[in-house]
Amino acid sequence: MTPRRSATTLALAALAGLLLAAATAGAAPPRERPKVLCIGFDGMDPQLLDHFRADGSLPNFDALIARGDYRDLGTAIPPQSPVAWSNFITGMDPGGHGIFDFIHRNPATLTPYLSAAQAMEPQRWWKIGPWKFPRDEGHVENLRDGVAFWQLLDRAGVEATVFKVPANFPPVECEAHTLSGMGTPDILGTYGIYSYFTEDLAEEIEMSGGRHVPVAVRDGRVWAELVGPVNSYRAGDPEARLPFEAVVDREHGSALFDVDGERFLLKQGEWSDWVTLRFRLVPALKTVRGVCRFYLKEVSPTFKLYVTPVNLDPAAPEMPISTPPDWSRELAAALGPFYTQGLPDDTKALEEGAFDDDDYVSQSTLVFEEREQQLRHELDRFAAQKDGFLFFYFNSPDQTCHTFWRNMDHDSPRHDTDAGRHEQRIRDVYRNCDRALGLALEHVDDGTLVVVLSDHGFAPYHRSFHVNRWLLDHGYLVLQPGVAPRDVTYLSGIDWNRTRAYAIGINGLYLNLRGREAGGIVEPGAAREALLQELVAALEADDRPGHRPAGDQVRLPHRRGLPRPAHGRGPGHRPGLPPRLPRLQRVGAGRGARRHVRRQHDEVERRPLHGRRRGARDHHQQPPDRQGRPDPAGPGPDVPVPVRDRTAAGDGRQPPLRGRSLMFGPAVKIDKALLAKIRKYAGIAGYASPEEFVRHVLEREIAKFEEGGASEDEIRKRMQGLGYIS
Amino acid sequence: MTWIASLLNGLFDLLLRPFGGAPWVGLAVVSALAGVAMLWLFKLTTNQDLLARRRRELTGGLYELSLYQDSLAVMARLQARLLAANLRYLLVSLPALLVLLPLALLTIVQLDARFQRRALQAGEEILVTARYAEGASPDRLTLEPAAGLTVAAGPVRDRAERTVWWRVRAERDAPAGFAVVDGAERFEKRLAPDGALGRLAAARVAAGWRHVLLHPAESPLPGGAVVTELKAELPARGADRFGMPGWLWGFCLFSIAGGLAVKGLFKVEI
Repeated sequence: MTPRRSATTLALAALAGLLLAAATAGAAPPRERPKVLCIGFDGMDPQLLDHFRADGSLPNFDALIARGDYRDLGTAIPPQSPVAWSNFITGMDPGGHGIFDFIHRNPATLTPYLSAAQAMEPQRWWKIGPWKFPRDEGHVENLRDGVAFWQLLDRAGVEATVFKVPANFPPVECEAHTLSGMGTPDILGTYGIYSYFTEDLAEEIEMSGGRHVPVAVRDGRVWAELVGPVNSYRAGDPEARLPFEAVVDREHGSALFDVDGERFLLKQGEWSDWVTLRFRLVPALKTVRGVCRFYLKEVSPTFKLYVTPVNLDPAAPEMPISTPPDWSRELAAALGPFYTQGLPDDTKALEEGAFDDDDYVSQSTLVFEEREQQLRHELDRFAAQKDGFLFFYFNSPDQTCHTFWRNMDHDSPRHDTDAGRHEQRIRDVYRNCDRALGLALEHVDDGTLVVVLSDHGFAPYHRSFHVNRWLLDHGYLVLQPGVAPRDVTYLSGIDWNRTRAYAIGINGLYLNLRGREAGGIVEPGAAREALLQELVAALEADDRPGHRPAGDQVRLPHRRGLPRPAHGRGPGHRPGLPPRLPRLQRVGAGRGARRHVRRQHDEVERRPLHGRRRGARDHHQQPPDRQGRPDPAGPGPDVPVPVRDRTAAGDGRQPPLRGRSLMFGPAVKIDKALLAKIRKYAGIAGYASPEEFVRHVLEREIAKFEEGGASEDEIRKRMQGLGYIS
Repeated sequence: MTWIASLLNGLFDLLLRPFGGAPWVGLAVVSALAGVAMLWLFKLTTNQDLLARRRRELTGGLYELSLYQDSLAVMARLQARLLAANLRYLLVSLPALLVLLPLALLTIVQLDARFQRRALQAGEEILVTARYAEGASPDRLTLEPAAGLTVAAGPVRDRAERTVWWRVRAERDAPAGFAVVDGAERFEKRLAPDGALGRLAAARVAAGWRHVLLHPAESPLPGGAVVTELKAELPARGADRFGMPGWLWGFCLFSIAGGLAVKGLFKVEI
């Protein structure tokens, strides 16, 4: 791994051609210009790495470490991938490059938006009947400031390839070969909306990550549609849709698909190859191409089909995803179509019930295999170069840890008997990464500097902290009269005339600042400073019994950020010296709570002390949808109840959490009337979601059956007494 | 009618046999010969004198257009006359076209059977189908792959289209084919040609005009059988260029070249 400096410092050191000890030992003649291979494994954790190395699972990492240097690294503040990778790319901190979170907000409107890029639509149109044609051009803008290090390489005449680095969509202009990674949208302009077609549904549900669409098998056939981009050439901006058909043979567990004239046959549990879709927005004049894969999850007894998000076709991308622009086409010609969306592992499908664990493993395996094939291709090209730079990125460790930590961690409140089946999944992915590293080492000589780095680590996530609820409880956030916490979505219902602080995004805590926020009430200057101090003190002092991990010591260094200078450099970056991040104090003890260091460029740095995980898939920091409403703004809009002890025995134990939302776990159908009652009573009692309420009710009832003895007879008698058996 | 297909198959097998080691040379030679033959037939089936006169009228019309460029009305009138002259010219050619088109089609179908598709390579998968007769049941139809071929998925029985689908996989290069079995009856389909220029059909159909005109490369299926068609979506031998297969471009190019080369020798007006 890397020396104990910031990742940005390391990157600059590597770029300057400094040879780290031993990694370059060997008899190869010195080069005039360096050759550097840099592999990024997102979310690779040094403690996990050491743990897996200890049993010999990672021989290539062992070999590299034996020949080189290996240190722990402090991550970005906040510890999020787009922030950390932007640090790596620019050599600046968020104050310089402007990426503070996955999600930012517009202070004037408080509308959340994805921090990585912004699409600007054409503003003027020619209108002819139902058609309209743009008079000016729309464009997509990369919101990251600063100069990317490969632009410097390019200017210095160094041949550079940067493969799927996050936070580079659209890719910044240069002659280097770059392919955009995390942040690249699908054809809908989102981070990935999958489609899930099933006979199990009564009506279509729009989830935050996908569409769950009811279908029926009639005379052995299914008809459905794939949704494409908005057709901005038609009045009303309807969605472009592509119908497809499937012939289903339940007896033989197979189905034949016809998608826009392309036919393929899948058996149950199989993935298709990439299928090219053509959305004809203007007949003969404008067609948008995308690619997707089909997964025939089940044929019998119930037809279930998953379709990946429609990715931009690398052979004909509708938005810029590479430099030079033709490079993605060349890659597609050499390798076939591939995932262009930034984060291809479909954790949303797992969260929202379209996938089970096995499905997810199957899909993420495909993603990794595809990435390995791409690595091989780039390594062949790199090996033929005399000098130059190659960066190659893998997202798998990060997404696997998000989703399967609970399987590995027996202490996780979401670890259940089913989870054991993929207990080794994280280890397997680390092994895959080791194999990829081995492949890379085979392609380089002793004169090549090899750097392996990650952007952040991982830790158990047993608790979460809901900032807006805390702010509400402590009077910093005020709701409008008559508005209940459960009614708040996207910060609606908040009384901005009395609210001094609010949270949005994954790590975002903002002051409602006059002159910045549209309804700001906190005066800049002394009042702002005083409020910051007050918030820090109040957060540090919050020590509700049972909710604060024992032994935690909260010391919160915080740094006031400065407005971004026009030249794009952040504070702390002085020309000629490597940039320094503010010194990050390790907070808390051990790994019993998630290191959730919060940071805003003008606000407070914070770490959660307590809280309760909402019952959803163990992915990401996003709370689950309620009733399928999208919730992209993370903890902000939904205001759940604080932790309460709900175990039947009332002994203060952590309430058990279940890994699956009732709506999408083992199928239990509930009629609308009952569902309405559940929602009503859950709201009255202040539960975070109807699912939590239902789980608690079930736990209490089952506990009654089990009271005083576990023999079947006794349980039967009790159930009879309770009216379950007549 | 099957004899027509057999005759044509035999003729083209004979013509292309010497070029087994250089198939594309064979394509060029056969295409050139076809061009020569078509030119000769064109001469026989058209009124050459009338054709020459019609062509001179067209040339004259073009000269007129170049002379009267200053008058839009005259230009418009001349253009109309040119259009009429063109149509008259085409009418003279029409009998030839009616003769040449079927022959060209038969030639193209024979070349298609030899140049359009190739055998499977190890690891490749394709879809194959069996279409069955009205009133028959698909439930007894099974697929028996030859050595080197396996069933990867299926069947999928599409009762509305009377078709059964399978996905097959080549476990080695050029597996011979497969058979669809219905009880005692067995219907075979080849997936590999005989030699470099052997025939490889996309489909095997029942005897009739469809067999002769479109799928002559394999013997027809027996009449009255349960299975009426066997199809295999074999991979193309080469890539398309501007929407047409490369071999077809070659045919067009060499047949035109062949015809033009002997135009003076045969004294043909076109």
